[in-house]
Amino acid sequence: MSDQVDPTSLVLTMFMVAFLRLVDAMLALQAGIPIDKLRPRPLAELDEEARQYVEQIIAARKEPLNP
Amino acid sequence: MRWTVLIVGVLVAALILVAGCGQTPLQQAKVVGLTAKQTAETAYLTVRIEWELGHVDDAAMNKARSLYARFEMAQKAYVAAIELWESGAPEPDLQTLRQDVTVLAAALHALALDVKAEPPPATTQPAGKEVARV
Repeated sequence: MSDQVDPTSLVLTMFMVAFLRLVDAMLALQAGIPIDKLRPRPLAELDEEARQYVEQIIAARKEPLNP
Repeated sequence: MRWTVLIVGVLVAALILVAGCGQTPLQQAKVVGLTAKQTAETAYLTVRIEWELGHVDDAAMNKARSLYARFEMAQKAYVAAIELWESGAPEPDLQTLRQDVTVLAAALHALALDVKAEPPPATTQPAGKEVARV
């Protein structure tokens, strides 16, 4: 048995793996989006998320680059 | 080589079939709702974060807040209609509701783009945001 890998087979295998993953994702999407995922988040929740994000940005800026 | 081309051709044809023909109108309506929701929330968060950082004035923040409040109401109505439809009611006329959510989400998105495009104001730092000056 040869240790050489046929490039065509390799490309085809990679393509098939990518294709199957894509099909899997699409089937998951088509299985249905739960209705709760469509509900808008309240303003207060978004404001809190933004505040936490800004705190993280500021904390990251305060950290020394070379501890 | 001929087999490779044949197999790839069959796979691509199958992919197109799966992508194009599988979605029911209900699923399409849900995808529209989910896209609008994600667009609106991301845009609002962008404006809010820029405001927290002192890069956006209060007028733009108030506009984003007002737009999001209107979007929230429109989206709730859209979701309620889809929920009824999903539970077995006849297909509702979603055109107006869909238009409302997409227009409001697009307006928020445009506002967020404006905010990102403008340079931070030098003298209009909102009062009381110590966090922004760090």
